[in-house]
Amino acid sequence: MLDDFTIRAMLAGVLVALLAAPFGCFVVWRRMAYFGDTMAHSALLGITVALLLDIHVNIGIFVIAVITALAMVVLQKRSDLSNDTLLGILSHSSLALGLLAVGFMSGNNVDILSYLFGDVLSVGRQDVLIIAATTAIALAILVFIWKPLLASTVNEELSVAEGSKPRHIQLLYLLLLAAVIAVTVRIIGVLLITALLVIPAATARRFATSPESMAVIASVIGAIAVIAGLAASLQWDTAAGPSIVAATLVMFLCSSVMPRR
Amino acid sequence: MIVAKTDGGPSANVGTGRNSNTASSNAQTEFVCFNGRIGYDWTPIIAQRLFAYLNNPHTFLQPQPQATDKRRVASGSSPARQIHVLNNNPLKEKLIDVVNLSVKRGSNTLIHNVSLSVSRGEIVTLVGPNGSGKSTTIKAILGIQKPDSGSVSSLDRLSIGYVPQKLEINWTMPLTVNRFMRLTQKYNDSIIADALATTGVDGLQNREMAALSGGEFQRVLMARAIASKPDLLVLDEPVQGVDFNAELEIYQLIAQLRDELNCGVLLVSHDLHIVMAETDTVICLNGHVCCSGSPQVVTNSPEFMDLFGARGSEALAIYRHHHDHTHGPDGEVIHDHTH
Repeated sequence: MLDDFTIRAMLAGVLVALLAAPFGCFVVWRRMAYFGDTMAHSALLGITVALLLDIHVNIGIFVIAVITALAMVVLQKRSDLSNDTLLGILSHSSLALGLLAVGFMSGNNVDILSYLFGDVLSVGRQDVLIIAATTAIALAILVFIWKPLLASTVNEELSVAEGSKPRHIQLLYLLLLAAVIAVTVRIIGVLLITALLVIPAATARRFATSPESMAVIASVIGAIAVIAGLAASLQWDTAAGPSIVAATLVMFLCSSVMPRR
Repeated sequence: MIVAKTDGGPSANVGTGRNSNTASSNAQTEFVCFNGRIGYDWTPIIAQRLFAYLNNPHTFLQPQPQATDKRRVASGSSPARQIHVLNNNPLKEKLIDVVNLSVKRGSNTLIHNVSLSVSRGEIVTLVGPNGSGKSTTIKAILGIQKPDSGSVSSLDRLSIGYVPQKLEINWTMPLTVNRFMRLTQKYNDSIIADALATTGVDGLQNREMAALSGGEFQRVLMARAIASKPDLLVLDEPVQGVDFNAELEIYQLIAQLRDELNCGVLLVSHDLHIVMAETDTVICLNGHVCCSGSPQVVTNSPEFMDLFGARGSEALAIYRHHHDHTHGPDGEVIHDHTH
């Protein structure tokens, strides 16, 4: 029953879920869901850039997502527009530019739907290795910066006054988030990445007693959702990304009706 | 009493070694005090003060009869009402010395040539209307905001406890009080329990920060700030989100902490009259230092009158007013109260 490609798909999906959930907790705590969404939308532009320059798709996505994140950080400081307006501008214009660029490259056998909604069943051996390596490195760095990042999330001024340098830590976090997005696009698609970041974290909140337990629980919830979503996708031949997100939604709704501890 | 500083505690060593390029005093950049229009309505506060006075006349801040009185009764809830000798004592060491600090954002000057100092055992209160640069001054002193000119020098290895103005922990962050206390420092359980007990919120260790009431939250913030037994407490609007009675208690707590920790306190408040009684030095800020000195000197100064206008003076009248009666629920005067 479990062919090689389904094992690869499951393995890649679970790894991505384990990786995305702790980063998603910070997305929730820092109230940057829309920020994450904007970075994810820029991924489509990253894909076309990668195809044009003939570099690895993951690297293209990572570079463009980092540039988008830095642009937002700078604009948020400089511009008179409110943050949500700025994010709305960047998010949708980067998505539109990405779609236009994909359109121009139609001869290049680019399957736009697989990028928008994920194509987990085409994950190759090399992709699994890249995802595994990214997961290991990104989680290791996150553990390393966990304490100062958490302190600056609670209150930036307090953490500066107590001697940490939150700007550097936050920059590192954004770089890692871009890496998470780069490896997650393949599994769940440009449009739905934020769901895998935010919904497991929001579901885990109810059961968590500390920031760390929230991250661990969110990872477990994300992994279960990916397995359930992929199984449903194989069973009923539905698109993988939406199936996974629907599974996270079911878990979120179930947790919402559970009595609060 | 001198409290030993714990080694390795959070010493937000502020400004030591910062180059002290003193700003050239530019007479043309003089600020003009805003005349009576501060966008702040004192009336409800006056009413609140009266109410609190009715509820608890003894804890209401007592007027100080003479400006030159160097002794003061700390009106804390500590068993023996401690006599605190004021800071004018030359033996008190200076904790921080700020000279001609200026901060600009773009072409806007946020603060201009602000000078102040805080000594051990002294409570210095920054008052001023919204946007007058109170928080900016504090942030520049703490190194959160980079000053454009001026110098901040501090005692070697000065440790600072800081309560920031905007600290909000929403429900999505599962953070217990215990964990919040340990956010950047390693404290053992007894240090945390002691600090929480000092600010009157012992036993809240396992509660979630997001579930605390406004008063509990501010007291936990203060407990966190004093856990390392700092030399200097920097409190930016420590009574926000707190109802009036709790507000009074927190101001009394600040005075009590000053006595127990023998620390200096730099306090920001837009709530002038209430802080006056416990304050040694008032610095009235409106982009620059309008006036400063003891509460009596400041409240009599024309700059202060200009800045806070007639309403401010009214509020201060309450502070000076020697209450010899209480009011019944309907406002009738009851003369059975003794001082």
